[in-house]
Amino acid sequence: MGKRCAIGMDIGGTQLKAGIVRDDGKVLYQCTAPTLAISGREALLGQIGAIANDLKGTADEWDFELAGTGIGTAGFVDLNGTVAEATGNLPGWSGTRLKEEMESRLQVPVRVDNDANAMAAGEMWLGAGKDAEHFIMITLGTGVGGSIVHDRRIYRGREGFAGALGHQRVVIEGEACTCGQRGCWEQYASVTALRRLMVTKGVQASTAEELFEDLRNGDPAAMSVVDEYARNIAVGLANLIHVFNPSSIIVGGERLRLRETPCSSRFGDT
Amino acid sequence: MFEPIRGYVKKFSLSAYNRGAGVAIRKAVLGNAAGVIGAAKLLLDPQK
Repeated sequence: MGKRCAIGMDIGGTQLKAGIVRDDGKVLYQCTAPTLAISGREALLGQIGAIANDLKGTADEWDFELAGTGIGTAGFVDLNGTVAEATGNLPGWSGTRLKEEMESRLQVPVRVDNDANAMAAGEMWLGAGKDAEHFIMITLGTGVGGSIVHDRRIYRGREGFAGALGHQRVVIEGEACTCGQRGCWEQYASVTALRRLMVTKGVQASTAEELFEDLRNGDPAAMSVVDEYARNIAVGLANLIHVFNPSSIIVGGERLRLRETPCSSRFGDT
Repeated sequence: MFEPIRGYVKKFSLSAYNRGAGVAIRKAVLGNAAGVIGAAKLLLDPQK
């Protein structure tokens, strides 16, 4: 073991993460760049292709056998690796035949999945879901992603779109969502929603990190924000518990950020 | 952050059915690497 690897990529609404992963799960190299979300489909495809090609070159230099490139992306990904519907966080991404486009550009096998499903697969393999038969994964970021693991397999539904847990409606006629509906859970439980709550409540902190620092220092306004945010998260989790009867719920996302190596500047500027 | 979430989950799921009992609310341990590892796994172990 040790000479076979794959490139893994995680395309979120804000950040693109990529790395070279050995077949025992060890991440040999990882980098991040701001996702070129607002620059449109071609710019984002170019960015993904440039980063993947660079990592492919590195894997070649290290004399690894490259199994291919796996991509987790925000949005509704069908069973053929097409982004059938993008979230509002990646404008113009709907309809992108991502598997086909990347196989053509990279000349290696490519597989594409929803980003939360990819995170759940990672946690199931080596993380908090290692010993769980049935669990729910939620990711708190620009939006709220979700994945349902049943009998240690990701439940995909009829077209591959199962797990859009952030779009369960928790408030009738609530906040407008990027999906066109109102009152979706992600409008209350995402980091975007947390930032909105911070503004509404008039706390001094301007970032989530500062908010949690204020909380540690006993600031009552910060406590009030965190209490309401926790309640918003919990109401959706309680619904999921009633529907899926999981053994555990794994919570990931921006709050739990690891230290990483930034991608070289050209990745962000592609 | 996790303690208030656990507290509210318990409160909201406490009913005649008590579905929330015994459900562990866990922090993801791989952080930002989870998506990269899971995406790579699509190629390294395509069964899942």
